Order: sequence, then structure tokens, then C-alpha cells
Amino acid sequence: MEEDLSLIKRLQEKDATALSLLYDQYAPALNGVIVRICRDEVLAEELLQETFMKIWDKAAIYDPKKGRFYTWAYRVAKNTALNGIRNSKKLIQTEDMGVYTNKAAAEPIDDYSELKGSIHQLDQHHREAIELVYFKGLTHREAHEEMGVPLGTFKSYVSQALKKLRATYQKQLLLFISLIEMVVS
Amino acid sequence: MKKRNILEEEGILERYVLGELSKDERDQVRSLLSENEELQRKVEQIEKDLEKLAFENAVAPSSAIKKNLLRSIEATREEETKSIPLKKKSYYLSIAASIAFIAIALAGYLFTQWQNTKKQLIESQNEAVVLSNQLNEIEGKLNQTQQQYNVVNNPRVIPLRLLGNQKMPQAVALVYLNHEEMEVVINSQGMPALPKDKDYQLWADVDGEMINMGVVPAEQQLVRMKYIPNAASINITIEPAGGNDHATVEQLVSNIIL
Repeated sequence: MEEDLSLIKRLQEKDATALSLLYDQYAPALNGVIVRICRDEVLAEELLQETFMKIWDKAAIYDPKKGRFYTWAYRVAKNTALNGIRNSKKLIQTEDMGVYTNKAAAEPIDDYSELKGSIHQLDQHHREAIELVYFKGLTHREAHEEMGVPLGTFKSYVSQALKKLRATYQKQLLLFISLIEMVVS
Repeated sequence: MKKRNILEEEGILERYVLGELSKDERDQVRSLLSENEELQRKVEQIEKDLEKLAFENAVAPSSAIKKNLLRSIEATREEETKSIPLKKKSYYLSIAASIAFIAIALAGYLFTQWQNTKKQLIESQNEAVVLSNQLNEIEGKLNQTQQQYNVVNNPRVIPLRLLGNQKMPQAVALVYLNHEEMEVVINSQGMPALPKDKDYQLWADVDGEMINMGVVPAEQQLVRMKYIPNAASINITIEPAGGNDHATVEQLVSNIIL
């Protein structure tokens, strides 16, 4: 996807219309990340709004030379979501609602935890590695322990998974192009 | 060497994109990126791959979120652009204005107070001068009265009542004699007024000779006269205005023998 740098510049100049357009473009993808990190749809929506408030407030510090807009927004969303679940856990602990936490544990939101698309082309361990670092917001250090593999191995998993994904995308693109060619010809 | 090391570490670019690196590591990667286009492409590829993954797994949020978001941004923006600075400004301004107003009002009040006080002080001073003058006058009068009183009210003084003769039967003059202090005083209030060219004159009879005691002003309470020792009688005559060297016996209006 190509980025609209002029739209981002307008955002940095506090143009609310630009924010609205960028929201339409990026909110579903970012929401997908947030909802998988916090596993709570209501909380996720609060955190999505918080994420966009931060994007609005801090847009000026985004530098297009240092990376893609989505990458920056993703980091904001991930940090917001991780803080959000940390705070809500604290809240649950202080309220001492054992039943509540049990219930949450008993009924995970499986709708969103199930990943879609190209990731299914990957082997199980590659898929899991990507899921941990990307959709659960774990660091490599946390994730390799979660998977029970050495850190070095885990790093390879992530790199390999991304390479395979890329190959998949390219295959899809080729397929798409040939499909168009077929339709056109 | 350190720069090389960081790139040799597997998965460093992925972790860079995911935002997992420490600030130090991140700065190292960034400085390497800025001088290596190949590396930039690699990073961009990772970014695009992960981005695609996210778009494939997008979850549409409820439309209420966007409305809330835009509303709260509008609210914060309104706060930022007008209410806060304006409020603060007008707040400070109103404080300054209030202080200035109070100061001016106070100054005005104090000025009128000062003017009033000044006026009152001048009035009081004038009054004091008037009172002081009155007091002096009264004191003077009192002294005079006291002196007159002392002249009259003295055991050594002999009061004499000189009645008018057949020429002037209504006339009465009071004479007070003090031989020890050699003083004589006359009250001429009971003497009728004379034409302008005439005066009463008081005489002492010493061995048959009339000696001048002085011209008597008409209608005066107490007038000091010349004391003449060894007088046998005291006499009042009518003489030309200003008095005479010798008594005109024909014009005798009153006399008393001592």
C-alpha cells in the first residue's frame, strides 16, 4: 500500500479531516492488532481511540524518513494496548474480582485470535512466532520463552516467517496479475 | 566494529521495525540505515510485509469510535485555541484592571479626604485665631474691670456722691477717693450731656483756691482724675470745651465738702 505523504503532512498540521481519512485507512488494521493483544473488544475500542488521540497529539514527531507511517502507528497502538491491559489487570486485581478474571480466562475471544490470510500459508512454528511478536505484542525475549525455544532460534523463525510471507504475497500478486491478464485478454 | 556487530545479530531489523530495540540500539540501526540504501530497502520490505499482515487481519471498529475520537479532538482543540489562553488572558487582565480600579478609587477617596481635612484644618485655625482674639479681648476687659473694681472696691476708698444743685438738679456724679494711694476716680454716667463747646471740669478747694483736677468726659463709668492733697471740697463746674485754667464759680453745678 502506498502512503499518502501529503495527508500525513496535513495531519501533522492538525487538520482534523486528514485524521478522519487516515483513521478510515488504518483503524481496522490497528484495531486488529489491539483486539488481539488485549482480547477484550470493549477495552480494545477504548484503546483504539486512545491510540488515535496519541497519533493526533504526537503526529509532529513522526518522521517519514525513519519509516512508514503504519509502522509508527503500529508501535503507538501496541504500546497503548500493552499499557491498557496492564492497567486493566491492575484494576481487576485491586477490585479482587476473582469470578470476573476466571470468566475472562474461560471465554477468550476466539473470533479475533484466529488469524486470517497469508499467515495460514506458514508452518505452525513460523505462524506462532509471528503471532507472538506481532499480534500479542511480546518482545522477542518474551516470545522465545513462551514458545520454549532458544532466542536465536526464535529470531530465525521470525525472519524466515517474514520471507515466506513475502514469497506468498508475491505469488498472490503474480496470481492476481495473471488473473487480470486472463480477464483482459 | 560495534556497528557491524549489531547488523550481524539475526532479527535485528525485524525487532527494529517492531519497536523492540533499546534507544541505543535503535540509534545505531538508524545511523546505519541513513548510509545504506540496500539496508533501507530491507527494512521497508519488513515494514510492508507486517503491514500487509495487519491489513489481512483487520477488524473493523464500531463507527461510534470515530465519532468519539473526532469529538474529543474538537474539544481539546477548542480548549487549546480559545478558552485556555483567552481565559487566562482575560483573567490576568481583569485582575490588573481590578487592582488599577481599586488603586484609583482609593487615591480619589484619599485625595478628597485630604482636601476635606485640609479645609477643616484651615477653618479650625481661623476659628482658633478668632477665639484667641476674643479671649485676649475678654482678658483685657476683665483686667480693666478688675482694675476698676479694685479702685472702687477697696476699704481705703471713700465713695462720694456729688448731686447736682438747683442749676442741674438731675445730675449725679460718683467720685472715689483714695488718700493712701493718692488716687481719684469719677463716674460721670449720671451727668447730663453738654453742648459741644462745653465740658465738665473737676476742682479741688485747697485753702480757698480752686485747683484743677481735670476735664470730666461725659457719661463715662470710671475716669481717673488728678489727685490733689488737702482738698476741703470737690467741685464740678461747666467750662468751655477743653477745660479752663480757673474755675468759673458761676457755673458750679455740684460740690461736696470732705
